[in-house]
Amino acid sequence: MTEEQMLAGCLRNDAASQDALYSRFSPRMLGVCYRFAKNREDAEDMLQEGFIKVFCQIQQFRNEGALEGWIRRIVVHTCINVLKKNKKFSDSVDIVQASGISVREENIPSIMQAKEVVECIRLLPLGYKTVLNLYAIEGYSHKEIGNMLDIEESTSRSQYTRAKAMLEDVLIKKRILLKPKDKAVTVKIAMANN
Amino acid sequence: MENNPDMVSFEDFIQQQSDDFRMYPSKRVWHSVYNNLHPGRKWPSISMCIVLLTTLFLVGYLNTRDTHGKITQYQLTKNYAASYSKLADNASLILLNESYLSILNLNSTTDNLVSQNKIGTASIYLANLTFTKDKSNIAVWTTNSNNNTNIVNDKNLSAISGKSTLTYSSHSLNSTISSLTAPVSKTALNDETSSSLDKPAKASNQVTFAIINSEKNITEKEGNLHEQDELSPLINKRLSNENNITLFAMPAEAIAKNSISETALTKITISTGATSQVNNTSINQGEKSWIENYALYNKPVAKKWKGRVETQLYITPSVVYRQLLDNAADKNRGLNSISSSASNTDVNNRVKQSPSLGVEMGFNWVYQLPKGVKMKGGFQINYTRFTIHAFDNHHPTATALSMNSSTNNLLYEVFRATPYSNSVGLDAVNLHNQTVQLSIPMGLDVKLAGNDNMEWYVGTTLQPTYVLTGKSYLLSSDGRNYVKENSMLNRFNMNAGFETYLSFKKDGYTLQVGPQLRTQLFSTNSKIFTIEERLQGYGLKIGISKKL
Repeated sequence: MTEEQMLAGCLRNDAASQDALYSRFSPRMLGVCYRFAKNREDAEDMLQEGFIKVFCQIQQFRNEGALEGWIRRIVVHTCINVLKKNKKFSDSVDIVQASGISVREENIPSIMQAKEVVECIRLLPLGYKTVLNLYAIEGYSHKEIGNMLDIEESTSRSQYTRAKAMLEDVLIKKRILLKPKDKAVTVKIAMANN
Repeated sequence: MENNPDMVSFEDFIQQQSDDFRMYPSKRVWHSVYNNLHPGRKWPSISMCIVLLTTLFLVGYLNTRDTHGKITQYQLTKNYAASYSKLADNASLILLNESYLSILNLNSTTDNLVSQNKIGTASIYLANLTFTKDKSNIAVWTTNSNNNTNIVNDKNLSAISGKSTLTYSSHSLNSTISSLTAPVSKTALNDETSSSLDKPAKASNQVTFAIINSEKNITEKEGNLHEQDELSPLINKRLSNENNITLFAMPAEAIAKNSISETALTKITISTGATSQVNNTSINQGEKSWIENYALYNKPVAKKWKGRVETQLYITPSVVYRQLLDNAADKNRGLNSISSSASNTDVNNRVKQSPSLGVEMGFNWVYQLPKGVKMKGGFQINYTRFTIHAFDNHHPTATALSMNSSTNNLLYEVFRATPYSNSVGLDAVNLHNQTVQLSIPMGLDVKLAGNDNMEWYVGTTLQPTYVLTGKSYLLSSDGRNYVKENSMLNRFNMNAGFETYLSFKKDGYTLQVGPQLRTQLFSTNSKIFTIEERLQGYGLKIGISKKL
């Protein structure tokens, strides 16, 4: 089923077309949710809410960009809305003193393949993780992030700086990144089983 | 995105890794989305179960309908000739509806009752009986401990007509209350008024007979009887002009059970004149034919479910075992390394586990079919539990779970962080795979042997099951860790139960006790997880049932 056929079917509320669209995009979107969520259950709840919005608002898609990008934006906003409902989240994005947090090496995932980076991102504190996800992966500006999370732009910048430093530290400890002192070079270590 | 020249490579690297990351959601997510988008199709499975259950009952009902009529007709034909001898032992008469009595007592010391060969007090009990033109009413004749023969005159018969004539008899009721031999009847008649005659009183200590036929003179005079609303000799006169009233009776209990082989079919003649008597005369061919027709076309319909349906409550404590089956063990379908190397041994030998206690409880409707077969269906709550011996490291460790791809025959892995280890760790801990299920057991029981008080049955049930909630710890691909992954639980499953039990009858209740084996036909977890878990429960079923 082509993307156009899926879209046309979803506009008719056709269950088969909705199933096809869900099957095509849900694995990647669950990956997005998983980066924001505390655990898989929460991620699936976010995904569920996001796809309900997608199907309910499908008529608003103008074919002006990629369908996946449109779905992804809805899913990301859904994740943020879910997180904002959680009091812990609003506390965590405001804390500046979180810079003292470090990740112990034994807490870092020991089995690494293509998804190890995501697991390392998820080890970050909630506020750090959210800003890093939005800035480095989803491509939002700090200003946009500030509006989305109801925080100052400067707070977003500082959160990201600390999140990046912490993530680098984790990745270096796991030898996924090598960072010589004289210049920043990112090298992915080939995995032993690849 | 804002550019930071120093970190472009870092962000690109993170973004690339994250974009490649995919996870496969559980079916629950799609079902929830689907149900939200199409609310009208929300409960197809429950609807199907209800339809299936209803169909089963309907099939049983229709398949047994004709059989009852034939049996009744045959037994009536066969046994009526032997029935007359019992009539002489009956001392009194009660006419009533099916379950309760409204009693009128007429003392032999009054002019209302004339007895022949009277030894003790004779009583006539006339219920709030209405003889209808289609002869479909049920009346009951009862005996008490006296060996009296009752004869009814016209005043007594007037009580049949209804409240107005019952009021007429109230004086004699008050004066003769002590003569009643049935204790229950005495209570009912203490506050004698016209309305009290309609009070129900159980005929628990009396032998009851259902009157299955009456002659035309009662039926056709129904209108005349009801027309009387005052004390008037006219009633007597009218009734006095009628001929004898004849009733045919047989034990009501025997009819209810459809087993009248040991009973007597009795003919009672009540005269409207002073010389009324009870006759032990034989039944002529016309009467016999009418009885047979009545039994064939009326009686089985009225008693169809009576005594055949029972409700059962039960509880089954059980010990739950499990069997693991690694579907990835013999298939190298895309995964290299870890899982295949770890799967060289039987997965059951790679884990430390022990059975745990579970329980099932519920209720059934049981329908008795011919030849000792019982069909049953109902609702049941199951609690299953199984113990895994593991270790808690108190910090998360990344591990992988092997999954079957839904689109091809390959395996893929999903990654999880878990503190639980299978082989070594800081603290020993017991993990419990457990579920709470709602199921609809449907099945058959077959009687192997027994007598009136004790019976031996074997039975089987099929149980469509919905998992309400539960916990699931999954073994990782390398067999080293356990991952808590409740979302992998199969929401719908199917169980089969096999049982044998002894049933004991006591005071109208039946107690059932016996061993039961219950096996789960599909894996506890979704089929995309490569390691299947099948549960078996060995339990002792204890049930109690009562006929409706």
